[in-house]
Amino acid sequence: MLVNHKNNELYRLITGFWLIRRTLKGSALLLTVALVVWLASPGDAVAQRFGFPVVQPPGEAFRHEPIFGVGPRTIWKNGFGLEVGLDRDKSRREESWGLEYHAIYGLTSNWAVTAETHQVLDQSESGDTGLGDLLLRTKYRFYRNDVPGGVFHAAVMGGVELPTGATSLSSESTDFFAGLSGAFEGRRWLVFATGRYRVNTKGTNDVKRGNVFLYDVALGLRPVKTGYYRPDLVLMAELNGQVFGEREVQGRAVEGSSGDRLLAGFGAWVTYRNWAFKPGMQVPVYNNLNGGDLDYRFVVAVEFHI
Amino acid sequence: MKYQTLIVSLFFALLLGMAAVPQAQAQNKIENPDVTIAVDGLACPFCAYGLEKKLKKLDGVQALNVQMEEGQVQMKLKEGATVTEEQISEAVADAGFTVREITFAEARKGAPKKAKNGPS
Repeated sequence: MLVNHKNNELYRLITGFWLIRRTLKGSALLLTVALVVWLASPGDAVAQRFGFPVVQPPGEAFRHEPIFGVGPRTIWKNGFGLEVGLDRDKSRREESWGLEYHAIYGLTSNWAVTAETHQVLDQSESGDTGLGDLLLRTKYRFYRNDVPGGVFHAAVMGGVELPTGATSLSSESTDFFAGLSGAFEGRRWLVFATGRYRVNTKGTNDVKRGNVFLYDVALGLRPVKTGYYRPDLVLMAELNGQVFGEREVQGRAVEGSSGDRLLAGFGAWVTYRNWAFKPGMQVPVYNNLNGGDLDYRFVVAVEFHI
Repeated sequence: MKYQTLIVSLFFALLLGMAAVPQAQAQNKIENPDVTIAVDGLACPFCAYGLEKKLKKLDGVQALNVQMEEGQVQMKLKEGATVTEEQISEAVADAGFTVREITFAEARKGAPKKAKNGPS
């Protein structure tokens, strides 16, 4: 019924529900109905309820952050958050399913530490499964200007990825990254801009993957301003850029191994008090990577804070 | 098929978790609050959860009502209890927000701005 072609996939993304229906079959209908019913529950007289076709979510975001990037948000002092996300990547050559695990702790209201890892559940080409490397990162919000109904803030971040994963899934190198993020978050609109740079070191197999520069811009819209005790919906659209440096093998650069690509991401945050449901979908807009094709990526994640 | 089950399970875990959250404060506009705290930075309900958590931990707090559109928190205190402006400001700061103004009800006016040393 579905022709496996990029353009057709993009069409189904635009139509939303049909892409989900194809991927999730009967579960999509149940999810959408449940979401509509939940949002339609009695609440403020002025609030309007509507359903939104659930798209899958991504794994990097904590709290209200870009779905495929990061933002300057931290968590309250001594607060703890946990997120579990299911992700699916599809390219011409491979399809994979995985789980992402994130835990965040607030050292202060402006300084948080995060641990995250990824578990591959299924890969169509290699068949490798298991846990990936452990990423430890910290974020310090050095600027915050609270205004009525909004906040302007910026944060620096840094981290290290340790080669703790299963052999076939590990980078086998200790890699570092640093970044800067700024945002305005208001009751109606949210805007994010982030830049990150990752330095990959040489692995045990004498292979050094190219360094990576990531840049993200995101726009969020809260179509209905609900109260604190009502479910809250934010729609998110993003552009995520990735610039890859050359890979080196035994000290020699591999020709044609560098490149860049631009991805577009769409998704939503559906939150209630200390719970969040985050679906998102990412598709390539521009691809100049040798063999780095991606048809689409989606994630659905659940996050809670205590 | 198993991943569809996982997605559905995640979603219903979310719904169950939300159902388990105490509903006592749902749509509770507190009549005659003892303290009204105007808070800056109150943009998203999900982020405001920390504010509720920090303020509820203060001794003497009986009930809270977070009002997103008004940008304020209403607080009801237990009989005979007091909270200080310093305690409130510290709790709001620890939650990641900024106090713009704290207003005590007439009956609660005269509450100390700072906590006294030793038992009251």
